[in-house]
Amino acid sequence: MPSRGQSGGIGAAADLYARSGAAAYSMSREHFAAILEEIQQKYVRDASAHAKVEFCAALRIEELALARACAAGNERAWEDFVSRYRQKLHAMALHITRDIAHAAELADSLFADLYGVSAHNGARSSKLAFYTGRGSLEGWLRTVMAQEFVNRYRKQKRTVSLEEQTDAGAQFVAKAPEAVCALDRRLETATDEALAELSAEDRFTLAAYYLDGRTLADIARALGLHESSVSRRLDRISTGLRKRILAGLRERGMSHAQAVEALETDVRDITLDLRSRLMQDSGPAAFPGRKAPAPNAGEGSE
Amino acid sequence: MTEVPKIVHQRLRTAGQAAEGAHPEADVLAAFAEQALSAAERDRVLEHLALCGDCREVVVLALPATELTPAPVEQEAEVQRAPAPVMPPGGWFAWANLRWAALAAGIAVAVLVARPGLERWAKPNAPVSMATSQAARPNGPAAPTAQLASGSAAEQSRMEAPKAETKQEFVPEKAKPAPFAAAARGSDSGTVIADNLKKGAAADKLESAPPPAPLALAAPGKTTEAVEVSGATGVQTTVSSLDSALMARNEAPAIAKAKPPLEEMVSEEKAGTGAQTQMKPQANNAMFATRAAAPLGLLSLKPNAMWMIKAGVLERSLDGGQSWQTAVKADHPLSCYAKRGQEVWAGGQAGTLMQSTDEGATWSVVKVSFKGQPLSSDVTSIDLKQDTAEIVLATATNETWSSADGGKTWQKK
Repeated sequence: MPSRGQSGGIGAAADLYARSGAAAYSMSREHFAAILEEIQQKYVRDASAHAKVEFCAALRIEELALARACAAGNERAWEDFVSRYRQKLHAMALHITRDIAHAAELADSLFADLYGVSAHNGARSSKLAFYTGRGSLEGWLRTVMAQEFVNRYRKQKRTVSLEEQTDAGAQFVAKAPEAVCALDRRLETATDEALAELSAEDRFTLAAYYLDGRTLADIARALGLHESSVSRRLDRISTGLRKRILAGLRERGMSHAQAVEALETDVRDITLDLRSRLMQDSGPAAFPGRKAPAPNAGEGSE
Repeated sequence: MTEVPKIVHQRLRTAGQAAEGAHPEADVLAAFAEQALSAAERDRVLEHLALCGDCREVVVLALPATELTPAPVEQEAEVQRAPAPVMPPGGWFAWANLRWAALAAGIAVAVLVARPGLERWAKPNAPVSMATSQAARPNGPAAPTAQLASGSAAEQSRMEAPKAETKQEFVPEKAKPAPFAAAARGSDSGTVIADNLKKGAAADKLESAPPPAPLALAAPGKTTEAVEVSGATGVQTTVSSLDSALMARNEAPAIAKAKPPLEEMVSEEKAGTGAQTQMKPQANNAMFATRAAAPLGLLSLKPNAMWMIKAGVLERSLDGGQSWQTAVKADHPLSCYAKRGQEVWAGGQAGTLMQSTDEGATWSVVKVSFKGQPLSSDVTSIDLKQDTAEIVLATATNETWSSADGGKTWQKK
């Protein structure tokens, strides 16, 4: 059986190589197989041979060949990449930054990273070596750019000059008041329990809508749903959460009236701190710039 | 939208601040946004996203520009279920809504014009009927069709028979279609309605039950429909070719919205005549018939096609992005596309340019050349001017090719 699976895998690899158009970029079959092996090791290391074949079949194989050929320094691949994505990069940057000057800066910076201007052991190292073909190359470029933008935004946020703060009236901003009354621990526990019972998708929806202030349309697109489905889902989650928290409070010895009062007292007394909301991050460099490996196909990226 | 208690905000934030762990890599986030992850992997990413504000921001920022992925159209069942109209992205001033505004204005004009005419006649209690026209049926006259929509139509005809005698002489005039009604888009359906009205007039004579001011609401075709309003003086307004999905989405509620004013206005005419009680059930039944027609496919519910370039191939989705099919594949990889109504253009490497005039059903290769010199560099963007037939191509070699006649002849700059 293993030999059958292996031969099937070899046949599939040959088929993938043919489909990828890697030969047009002077990428050898072995080089391409090594790239696939590296991606399999990264994502489906312990999966069955059949699952691995299916995983590879679902990859954006043509775009993967293009990206890795660019990373390997193939000029024709780079020309193809430039013709397909150069203008798009600027449009993407503008979409993300909403500012022409920042967009140009962001796009040019990423373009340089993609070309790999930073020499590594004398060789050009390109960020495209991290593309694994799991989503579209365009989607990956947008995501990399968004990560870079978020990182820069964080940096800029921390280096706002005193003059700018003064201009913005920051020196007059009073310190955010603490909650007027101490929170009942039972309320926190009941809320945490109710949230833990939700699915990850529901919690993502809640956080995106209520914490980040995202629109229904954005959430729907991120989840691949229709806007009205997200709206209904939010209504359902909100109603369910309220019921579940009240039930949790009653389980902790509160009467129904007390539970309702605890929930509503909290609504009145807790100040919604937008500043801390925006600060929900995990460090100055959430997506640290990664050093690309040398354009040697055999190397894993991890 | 139901608001959640503030404690939920606070606990979500606290959980996010306490969260640790590595962020998913860009390729995983990109695959997540494109729904390309396995269920287990997607759940893992969602677990992280629920806690990580940075990654949520990245995912949303990295979504493609909205114009590339128009919002999917609501499904048929949702149209039936939704009590209120869902506004299209264009807002209240979108063309689809203005068309309905035009219809409402037409109805108002029709009734106002009909008022002196009705008052002139001794019996002002003109019955108004709204009915689903069975235009596909060869012998489906308008007036009897209107009666089909009413469960008590035959009975009503008998009740109206004595009143109708005095009105028979102007019925044929009323039944004549206005010229612009026949010339409207979707003229086939308009003609059918006109024929039906004529037949209806003849049938009215025989049955002695003509409705002097019929308000026939027709939904004859799958992608074309007409709403026709006829007054006693022959005023007609036709709105046809509701091929827009947004229009389709709004039509049932819009009709429902149009109902109360109609009833009120006509009721005014009939105040004190006792005919009001006849009209209302008929209109209500007609409305029911119209709404019931929606799930039967009589109303147009064709969603907008969505497009994307994937691996050098132009793909199309007709179900709001749930599934994608290859629309066109050229000898060279495609890299850009543009659409203007039913017209879709796709461009790619080595001067590849494809055109479809039927929203992707059929495609033709467009050879672009100027003074014998063909376009050979890669097409990187296509700009279709919305108000003219002008097309502008940009190429990877910074050339600009334009055509002012829809792609027949080209200029190079």
